[in-house]
Amino acid sequence: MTGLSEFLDMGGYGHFIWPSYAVVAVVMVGLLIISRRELGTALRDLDALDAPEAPEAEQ
Amino acid sequence: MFHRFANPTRFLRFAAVIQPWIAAITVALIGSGLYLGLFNSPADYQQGETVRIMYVHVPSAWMALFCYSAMAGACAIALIWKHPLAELSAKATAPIGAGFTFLALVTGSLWGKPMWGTWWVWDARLTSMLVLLFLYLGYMALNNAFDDPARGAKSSSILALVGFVNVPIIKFSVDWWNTLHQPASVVKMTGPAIHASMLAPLLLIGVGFTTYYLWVMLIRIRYEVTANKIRTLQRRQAATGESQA
Repeated sequence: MTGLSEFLDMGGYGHFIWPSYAVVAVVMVGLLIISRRELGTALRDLDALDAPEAPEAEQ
Repeated sequence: MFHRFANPTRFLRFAAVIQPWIAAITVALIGSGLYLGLFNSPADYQQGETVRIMYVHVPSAWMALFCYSAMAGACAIALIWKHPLAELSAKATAPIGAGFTFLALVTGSLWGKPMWGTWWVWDARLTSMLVLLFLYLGYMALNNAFDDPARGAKSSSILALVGFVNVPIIKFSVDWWNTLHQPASVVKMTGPAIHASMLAPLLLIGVGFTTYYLWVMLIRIRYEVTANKIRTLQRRQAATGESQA
């Protein structure tokens, strides 16, 4: 157990190091999730717009 | 109507195929880089354990500059050749670059406090990075500021190109001015001045951040293409509705 707390302590600098890694993780994962969600919503909106009329399919 | 989507349509099919591969490569690169950086690399002889902040700080700063260069290049192509994908990829890149710039500033602050004794100083490197963040935010705001998307794209592209002058200023700020920030250790004429056990995780995470950028950019370009199709369809339906009435 001392091994783990020693590792988390990072020579006394743990409270600078771990927040750095945390903010990177939050921003990068957050941006990925937001982008995926925006794409999903747009694809559903496009389906809804396309479905009732416009039989001439694009392509 | 056909030729307008021809290029993006082919691109979308290509993007859907390579996206899972890019995702897997990104997770593998960043995962192995984090493992090496946190468990398999030594503490610095001067900076102690805080040197581990480098493994996220330096790649974030690289990506902040890389994304801006990519965005400005895409804006130039969009302005000169009116290539539709170039404009969309610039628009898709901006929030990712802004995110990395923000991360470089925050992790730098968390590294500066224990090593320099301050969260922030108004010196050349830090101030020019803050200007870069405002350039990204200004580009995004200007892009959305017009009712006509074409005008927004053109004005914001010009802003991005003018702002590109800041990129070499950031890169060489540590050589041109006296600053607290240390000069380059990896990208320099005499080769990297950093031990292999620290260079390996740094490069793995750097390449991993690059593939992350490609991954999220593909998603965001697919979103922008879809949003454009929706706008076109809505306009067409509104037009046919008016002519029938």
